[in-house]
Amino acid sequence: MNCNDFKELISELADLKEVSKDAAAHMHGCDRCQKQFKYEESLRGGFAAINETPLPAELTRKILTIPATAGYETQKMPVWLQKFQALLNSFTFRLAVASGVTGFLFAVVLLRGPAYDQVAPTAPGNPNITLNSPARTLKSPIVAVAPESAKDKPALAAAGNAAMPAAEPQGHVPVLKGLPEQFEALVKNVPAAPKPKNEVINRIPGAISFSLEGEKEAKRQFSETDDRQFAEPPAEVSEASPADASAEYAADVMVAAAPVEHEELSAKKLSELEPDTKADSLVTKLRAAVQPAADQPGLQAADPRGTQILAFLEKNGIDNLEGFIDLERLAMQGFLTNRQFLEWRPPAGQNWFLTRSEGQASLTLRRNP
Amino acid sequence: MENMKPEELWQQALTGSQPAWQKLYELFGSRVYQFFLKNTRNADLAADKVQEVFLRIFKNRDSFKYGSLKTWIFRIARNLLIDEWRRAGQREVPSDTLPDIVDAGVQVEESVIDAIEHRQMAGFIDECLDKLEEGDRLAICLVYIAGLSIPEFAEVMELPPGTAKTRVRHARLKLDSLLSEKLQIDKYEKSL
Repeated sequence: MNCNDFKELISELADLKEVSKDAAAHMHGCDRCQKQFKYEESLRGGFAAINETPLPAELTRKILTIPATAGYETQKMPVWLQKFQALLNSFTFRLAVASGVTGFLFAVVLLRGPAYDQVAPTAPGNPNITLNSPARTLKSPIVAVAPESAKDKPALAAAGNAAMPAAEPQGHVPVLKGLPEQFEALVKNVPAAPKPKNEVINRIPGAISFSLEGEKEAKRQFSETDDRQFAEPPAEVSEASPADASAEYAADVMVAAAPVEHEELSAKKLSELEPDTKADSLVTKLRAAVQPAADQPGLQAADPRGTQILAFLEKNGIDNLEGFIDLERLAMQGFLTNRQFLEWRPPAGQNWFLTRSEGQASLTLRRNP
Repeated sequence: MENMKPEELWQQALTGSQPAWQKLYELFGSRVYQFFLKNTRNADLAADKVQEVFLRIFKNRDSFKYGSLKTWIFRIARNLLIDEWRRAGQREVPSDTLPDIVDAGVQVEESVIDAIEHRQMAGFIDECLDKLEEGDRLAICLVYIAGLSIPEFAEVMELPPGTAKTRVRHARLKLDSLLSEKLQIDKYEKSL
């Protein structure tokens, strides 16, 4: 160590007592460095004397009261509130709040979709009976009708003994006679349905329907009916009140709960009204309501197709025993043409039932076992 | 509490220990006050700045997690001083360029040094500090009055360690030169 190193070393020391042994050894043998060390000690003593100067009393008082004054607000606040404030200010909490708000808005946007608006109401006491369901409205020509307006209400009420019209040009729900009291009570208890929308009901975009070859013609006719009705809704639709809508649903219920003795609801009439769309439509319920009549003795439905099928069976030597006729099997075996199969095919849920009485065969529609 | 480090005292002061807070004030209050007093030559302003420093460190107590409490305190003090200089507009913030200076060594006799009392030396230092440039005075105050080491000085001044060392050495040579001159004058006056 030389004199310059020694001078630099002691000038940088925070405490001169911390001088190293090498520096001390050099200093003992060097008068210049001893003089430098004494100067350094005197200088440090001077700085220490500067720091020993007493501070103003007022300054001391102010600084010592800082924790009591500046920290007053913090100390007055409960610990849990301080932690809660820290939580609110944390980034994690803000991120969670932002995520929650975003998710809520996303859910609101999703739930506002049009598909969720068409929830079909059900009849009170019987959730299986759907009142004027949108799907049925779109598919079935019988129920794809304008709701009965208030002016039709008297006609509906007076429909007790009126015969069902042969054909409803506008597709109105036929009023059935002879409704049992229980169904009338059911009609009265039907809740007020939501007011029908004024705007035209749009078809579901992109929806694709499949049908058999023979059903295309019937589908076309029905789609024309649908288009006409959907494109030009009758005035009653837009002006219908909830009471009118109730009447409409009442008519639906009446049809769905059709009396068994209604002679107009034969298989022939049903086939004219609607080809089999395989949909869970009101017609299906009508058939379900009518079918028990066929099960009752003496109330066999007179269907000319039955005569045609019987003639076909005798002509082809098909000697069926009593029971259900499996037309699909006959078609698979080549006895039936496609046209015959489509014409004679029974409605969904039913089948042709062959009975022989005193050598006389008869064919009626019966519900599938 | 006498042997506790400043950081330990700080932790106790945060829990509401008034003695710890008072001890911290005893450790740093005078140094901070002299730091401002030597650089502003205004006792009232220095007192206000000392109060502001302690108020700031208490309000921002959550921001000090680790490191040297002394460095943190004097960084705040240094920033307040520079702000004051800028506000006054009379002095410039010290630049990074330093003029070369020759180390002439201690030019007074050993007997003269031995004869000087600390209080007298404090007066000489005070007079010499007034003659130093702002940058040199700031370095001398931070190292020899505030008691910062060279690395701590570098941290407070936000300088590289080498640059900080050079700046302190430069300031010290200037102070030594002024003090030697002062001591020679004092010796001459006493001889008369």
